Amino acid sequence: MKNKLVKILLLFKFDLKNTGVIWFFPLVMWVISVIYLILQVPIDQSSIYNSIIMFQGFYVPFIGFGIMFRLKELYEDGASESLMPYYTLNLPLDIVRYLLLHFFGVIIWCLVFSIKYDINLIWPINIIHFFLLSILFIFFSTTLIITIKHIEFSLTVLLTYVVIEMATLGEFMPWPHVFIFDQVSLYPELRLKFVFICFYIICLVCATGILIKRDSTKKTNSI
Amino acid sequence: MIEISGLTKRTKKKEILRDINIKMDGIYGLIGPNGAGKTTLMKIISGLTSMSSGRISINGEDYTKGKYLKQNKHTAYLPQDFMIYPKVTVNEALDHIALLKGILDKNVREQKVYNSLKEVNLLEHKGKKMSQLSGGLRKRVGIAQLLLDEPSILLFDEPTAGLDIEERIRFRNLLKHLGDNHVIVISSHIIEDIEFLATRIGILKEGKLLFEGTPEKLKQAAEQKIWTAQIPLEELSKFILDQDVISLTEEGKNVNVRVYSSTSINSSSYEIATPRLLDGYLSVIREHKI
Ligand SMILES: Nc1ncnc2c1ncn2[C@@H]1O[C@H](COP(=O)(O)OP(=O)(O)OP(=O)(O)O)[C@@H](O)[C@H]1O
Ligand SMILES: [Mg+2]
Repeated sequence: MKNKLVKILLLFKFDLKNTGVIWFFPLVMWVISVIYLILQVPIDQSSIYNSIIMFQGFYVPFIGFGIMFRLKELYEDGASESLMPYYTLNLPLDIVRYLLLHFFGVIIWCLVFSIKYDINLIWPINIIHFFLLSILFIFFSTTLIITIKHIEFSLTVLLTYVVIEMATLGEFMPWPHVFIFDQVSLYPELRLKFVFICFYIICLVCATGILIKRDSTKKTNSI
Repeated sequence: MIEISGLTKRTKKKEILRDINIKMDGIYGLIGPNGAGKTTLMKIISGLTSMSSGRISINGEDYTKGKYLKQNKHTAYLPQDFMIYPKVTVNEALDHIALLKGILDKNVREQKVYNSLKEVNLLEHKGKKMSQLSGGLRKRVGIAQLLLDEPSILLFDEPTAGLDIEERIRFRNLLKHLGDNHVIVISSHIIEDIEFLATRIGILKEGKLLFEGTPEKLKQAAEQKIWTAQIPLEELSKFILDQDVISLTEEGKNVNVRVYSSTSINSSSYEIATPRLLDGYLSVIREHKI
């Protein structure tokens, strides 16, 4: 157990060194959403929800940022064959450690929210929703980078989705809507939304597994 | 030792490797022109790509599992264009690889990294960033990274490609040194790269193994086929058009030419020459011209 923790710390340290300051991007987004939450002066009940929307749009989608930058190394020229075997074996640990790191982020934000307002406003629906979104986005990011094999394009896809969802408040575009933009009590078909999010998570987990397996054995078009 | 029998790899379009049977031991030179299938063969041996049929055993144990070779601790493969983690130092990159290999104890990791850096003569460069390294040093990091696992068989794909002459010499010495306690397979399309280095040579062309044996045997393949003559410099351009000239050396106003001819030349100005490794290679390739 102690060994595992030391390994996780070393892996984070290496990722930071290898990625550079940009590794702190999700942290910056998190700090922004916490500061917004602290400074916000709510005019009415529904404006409290702005900070929740802010948290979903600014921080949660970037939970997979670190893992994207980690896996990007695989697709640099000349690195694939050498790194692939180790990265494949290590992928579950990589996903789990980033997920755990960001769970802390979610928990602390929720604590700040409960101190400022009332935990009953976000418990249980929003809090569970945050955790599900974290899992969803970490696997979405992983799938993106493994499929596209290119960090800039993957980030663009992720960003496009988030920005459009935020701008249209989860309507309009004919693709999955995973964010919650309003008081949960007012939300129609909330249960269905949760079922769908779980379904997307399962799909993305499978996609990640299948894609990394395919990459690691480089099945060429042999008969 | 690697023993390959009946190895074939086909794609929908073409046959990349055809019925290869080789025993690789000592320092093995795998030579062949571009597209011969050298990289493919090495990737199959290291389990990175599939084969269509055939069996491969390593150090006496058959590792074939379906179309792939099982990953094993014996072999390690250095790709043609090795490069990892451009932004970190040599030491950090190796330490990280060691960690990924599952060596959790810090002291053991440091010791292993130190040993493999020492083995490839990189200790003085360990603080440099990967992106600052020259091609030769980068390849040496690639080897150091492989040595962490203490494999007994090293596969190097065109290790000297893109290196300058100094680096080439240093690299050759390193390979010779590693050959003392490893089986080494080197692929190249330049026969000079493995001259005086390889203990056995295999020539691959269009997926077929055309020749297999010692350097001596390869030289013998050109016996009675290489001729030398001395011609005046002025006649050279015409001469090159008529004859199959392999090499030229200048000597005063004359040029010494080496000519390949499978039939004997009845002319007093020609002398039969002792074949070199390159001559052997060329005659093998030429005899199989389609
Ligand atoms: N994944 C693949 N699918 C289809 N054809 C392939 C694949 N990989 C290689 N080939 C073909 O197989 C042949 C052998 O390729 P290979 O890279 O093994 O040659 P090589 O001897 O390493 O050449 P070079 O000296 O240029 O590195 C080539 O004609 C190439 O086009
Ligand atoms: Mg090649």
